[in-house]
This record gives sequence, C-alpha cells and structure tokens, in this order.
Amino acid sequence: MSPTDALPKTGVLSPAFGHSTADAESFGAERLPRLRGLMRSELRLVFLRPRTAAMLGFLALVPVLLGVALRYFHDGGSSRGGGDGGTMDFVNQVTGNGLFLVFASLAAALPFFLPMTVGVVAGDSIAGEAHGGTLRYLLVAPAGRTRLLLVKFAGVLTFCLAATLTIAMSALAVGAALFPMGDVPLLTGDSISMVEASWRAVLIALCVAASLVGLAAIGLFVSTLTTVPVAAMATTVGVVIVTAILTGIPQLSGLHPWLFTDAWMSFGDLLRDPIPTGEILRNLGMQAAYAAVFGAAAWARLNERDITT
Amino acid sequence: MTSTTRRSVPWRFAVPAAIAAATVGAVTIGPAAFADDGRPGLPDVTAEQLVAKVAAARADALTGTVRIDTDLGLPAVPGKGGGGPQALLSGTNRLQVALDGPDRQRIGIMADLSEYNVVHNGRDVWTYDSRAHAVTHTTVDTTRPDVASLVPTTPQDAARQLLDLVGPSTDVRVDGTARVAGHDVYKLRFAPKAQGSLIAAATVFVDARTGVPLRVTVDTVKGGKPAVDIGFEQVSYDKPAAGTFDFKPPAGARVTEAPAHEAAPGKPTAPPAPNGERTAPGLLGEGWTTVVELPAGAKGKEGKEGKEGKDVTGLLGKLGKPVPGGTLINTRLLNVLTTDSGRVFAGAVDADTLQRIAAQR
Repeated sequence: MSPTDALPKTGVLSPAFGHSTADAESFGAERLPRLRGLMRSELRLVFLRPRTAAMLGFLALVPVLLGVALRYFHDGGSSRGGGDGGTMDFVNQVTGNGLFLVFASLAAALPFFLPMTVGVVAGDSIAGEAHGGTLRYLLVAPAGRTRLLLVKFAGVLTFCLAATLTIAMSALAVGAALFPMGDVPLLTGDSISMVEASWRAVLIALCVAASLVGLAAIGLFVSTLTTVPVAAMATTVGVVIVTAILTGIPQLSGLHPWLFTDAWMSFGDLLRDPIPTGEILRNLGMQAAYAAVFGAAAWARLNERDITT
Repeated sequence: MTSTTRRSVPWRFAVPAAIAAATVGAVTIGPAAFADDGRPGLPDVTAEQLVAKVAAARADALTGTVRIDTDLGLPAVPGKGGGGPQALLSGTNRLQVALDGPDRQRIGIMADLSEYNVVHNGRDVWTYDSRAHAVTHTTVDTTRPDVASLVPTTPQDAARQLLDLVGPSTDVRVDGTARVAGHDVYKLRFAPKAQGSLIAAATVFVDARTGVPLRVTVDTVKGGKPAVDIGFEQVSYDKPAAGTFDFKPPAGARVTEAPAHEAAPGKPTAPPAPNGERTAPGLLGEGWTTVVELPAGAKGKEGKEGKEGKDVTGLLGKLGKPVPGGTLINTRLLNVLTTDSGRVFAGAVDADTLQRIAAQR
C-alpha cells in the first residue's frame, strides 16, 4: 500500500474538495499576497535550478557560435548563391550590421533550440512536483489546483521570455563586438536608424517569446498526465519534432495552417516596411488558441486526477 | 489505488474540447458566416460597359497586399528558393504593392524572413534581394510600357492581358457580384469560344466603384481550384507614403549595374499568359490558342534571363513524357513540347493542338 493512505482525503485526493468554500472566502484580501508568494517560490524553483542556468547558458552560446562562424569563417563567395542558399537566414546582412545577429540568432534558435528548453521546463512543471512528492503538499496548502496550474504556467511563460531575451542580449553583445553597427537595412531594402531598429528588435524578441506560448501550454498539459518528468519533457520535445516533420511534407499542406509552428517565422514581418500585420496577428491568435485548449485540458486533467504523490 | 475514487465521466474535458471546437469552427466557417462575403446588390451592367470601365480605370495611386496562389499541377519544389520572382510559379505568395502613376511602382515579394523588391521610379529600376543582400540597378527607356507589367504580379496586370483578348474569339459576360478585400466587385468572365485551350475561363473581379481589377482567377478545363488566383487581400487607393519609391542601396549590399538596353535582370520566364507577348521570341496562332516558340539557342542570348530559362527547361525536362517527335510536359495550365530538333513550343493549349501547331512548323 502506498503511503498516501495515511493522508487526509480532503483537498488532496478528492477533487471535489479542491475548491472548498474556504478557498472562495479567501478570494479577496489574501488572494493577491498568496498568489505573489506562490509565484515567487515558483520563479525561484525554475530559475535557481542549475539545469535552467545550464540551458540559458547554452542558448546564450548560440549567437556566440553564429557570430564567430560568420565573422571568421564566412567567405563572401558563398553569399552569391542568393536564391539557392536557403539554410541560413540573414547571413549576408549580419556581416554588414551587428544588430542582424539578433535576428539571425532568434531565427536559428526558434525552430528547435528554444522549443527544446521550453519543453524541458514545461514538461517538468507538474510532473516534477509529482515525481518529487511535493505536489500533494502544494495542494495541502490551501492554494487550489487551478491556481497552482496558473502559477506553473506563468513560470513556464517567464522562462520563455527569459530564454528569448537571453539569446537577444547575447546576440546584441556579440554582434556589437564582432561586426559594425549602423543604419539597419530592412528586408525591403530601406534602411532605418539604430534606435528604431532596436525597438523592432524588442518587438521581435517579444514576438518570438509569444510564439512559444502554445508549446508551453502543450507541455503543461503533458506534464499533468504523468509523474515521470523525463517522459513529459521527451513527449513535449517530441511534439515539436513531429510538427517539424509534418511541416516538411508538402502533401499535408492542408494541415499546415493548423500547426502551432506554422506562423512562427512571422516575426520577420517586423523587418519590412510597411509592417504587414496579418501573419503576426495570426501567430498570436494561434498561440492563444493553443494555450486555451491545452491549458483547459491541463486544468481538466489536474482536477480529475488523484494526486497521490 | 482504487477505482472507487475515479470518476467515470471526466466532464471537465468537455471544456478544452469545446474551446477547440469553437476555435476550429470560428476559423473555418467564421469568415463566411460573419464577414459580409456574400453577393452585394449592385446595379446591372453589361459586359461591354464593364470592359470599358476596366479599360478606362486608372489606379493612379494604390497600396495593398496581394496574394498569389499558383497551382500549375507541378510537384512542389522543396526548399522554396530564395523568394525571387520565380517563387511565384508555385504555391502561395504574398506581395506588398505600391503604385503611383505609370512611372512609379514598387512590388515586394515576401517570403519567410526574406523579401524580393522591385522598385520602378521614372527611369530607374532597382531590385533588392534581401537573402543575397544584393541590388541590381538598371535604367529603362521611358517610352516603353512599364517594366513591372512584364510579370503579372498584380490583378491589374493580369486583367490587362485578358483585355487584350477581347474579340470574336472570346465570350465575355458579367457573372454576378462578390466582395474582394472589403470592396464590392462585379465578376467579369472571359471564356474562349473555341476548343483547344487549357483555360476554361478567366474571371476578373472589378471594383464596382473604381473599375480597378482587384482579383483574377484562371480556371482550367480540368476543373478543381483555379490554376492562378491573384487578388488583393487588402487594398487602399491612398497615395503611397512619400519616399516609398526613393530606393537607395542599403549599406553593404552588392550592387550590380545592368546595361540600360536590357530588360530588368531577374525577371522570370513568366508563366506565359494566353497571349504571352512581349517576351515571346515567336508567336504562333492567335487568341486563346497562341503558342510560343522559344528559339533553340535562347540560352546564350541574354545573360541571366537566358540562364534562368535554361534552368526551367532543365527542371521541366525531368517531368516530361515522350511523345512522337519530342517530349511533352503537361501541367494544368500549360503544355510544353520540346521537339527532337531542340525547339520548344509552349502554350495554354491541349496537347493535340500543341503538337499540331508544332508539326506545321
């Protein structure tokens, strides 16, 4: 028999008591400070982990590798391919302007590196607590499952933003060190000032971070399904890989508009003039829809589930 | 763990399911249900009046986003090129368009994280390929028709090519009304009277107020979705922002000067319009069954244009099937016949017609 039998049933094992009247009463005055405390401990949990530091450090290395490769090993000749290069974006612009390293690094990290780290954090969010045996204690405290889920989701989203900004900041530093800075050419061939380009870079970083929201929700849902964190992480990263494969099959083009990765590259539209907003808004809407569906699924699952660990 | 604590019906899962269903429903049937996408009631016009209106319409200034869907029935080419003009030959592409009179046009072909721009301002024509970070510059003779119309990148260009077809061989009629990019439009339908063309009909969606063509679709005799669908997703008749056409090569870009007498480099061998004039070395027949004969030695003639033509020929060569006297490449909109003697015939005509015309030469 498991040790859970010794636990009181109320509030832990039975979802019916999850949102007790006591919870509802404390909704007013005490809610905010408690939520803040819960959020603070969640952020501490996420960001004080050596693993998180390692992942952020790894992400910070992406612009370094990219910058060094372009600065010292990029021969101008390969740029003549123009149309048929295709593997790397912004390569030819980076050598002329360091700020483009920010865009190039985000473009390089968005398809796989960023989702991988988000998958680890999101997959670990609930399953990690369950695995460590701490989930039931979190629920013994009168926090409520829904609120716990919201805090966990907020923690993952904070990581998405932190990961994106880490890449952007690292790329900015490396770009400024290795390449000339100056007026930034847009994709349309017009040039804008550094100041305006910096604003656009901030918008692009936010856009990239927002692109990860859907995946964060998927990871959160997967994380509620299991008590084995590694399984949740692997599944979430697997979702990214499967999606990438589906995207690569032209015969499935009817499916593509429904994939959460479909409009990921829309952040590039911020580098045009005038800025076409259609695809950007479609991306944000898609991320919101995925967050709503999988967030609700995670909520349903967590509230149905027997928390035994 | 005992089964007694399990709920048999996890009702909460109805919530994500409902959200998913509502989202999918809103995306798929929403636009049709909520946008006034229907058929606006407009005063009746005759086809002649509408044709005259289109011919007279002068979109002096216009900005907008164009979506081009091309489905020639060719297999998708993996790794969608560099987003240059040749990308327009397949799939879905979006363009930003700005026009200001006959002398100033700007077209940007948008791809993921890259863009290909053509800027025409008076005598200057610039192209900028963001992926290669390369600029070409050339000057044109102002007495020539606008360079940008060599490729039908806007509904106006496509409509202009259709208007050239109006004549005894074409059946023109008004085919109801619709809405395009928020504007009420008449649908003007052009269909060949004779057999032999691969085009069943072409439809021009004409802005009821201004007479400007806002969308053109080309249906093939094989049915299915249109082979070509060029239309504005968003359009405004406001004058483009000042400075839109003042192109200066960005810092660090490789600039190539092309001699003035050549056509703008980088122009693709366009999907030949039914009357693919202008670029055509040799035209056979007339109207809808016009066939273009490309001279065998075309590749050496004009720098880049010839090279691209050769690339296309090489690609198509892999797709061809042998027929008596040559190799035939068959797409939904176009048949291309390469004879054993090395001559190339192309046209939006069925295989029999193409072979018959080629045999007469």
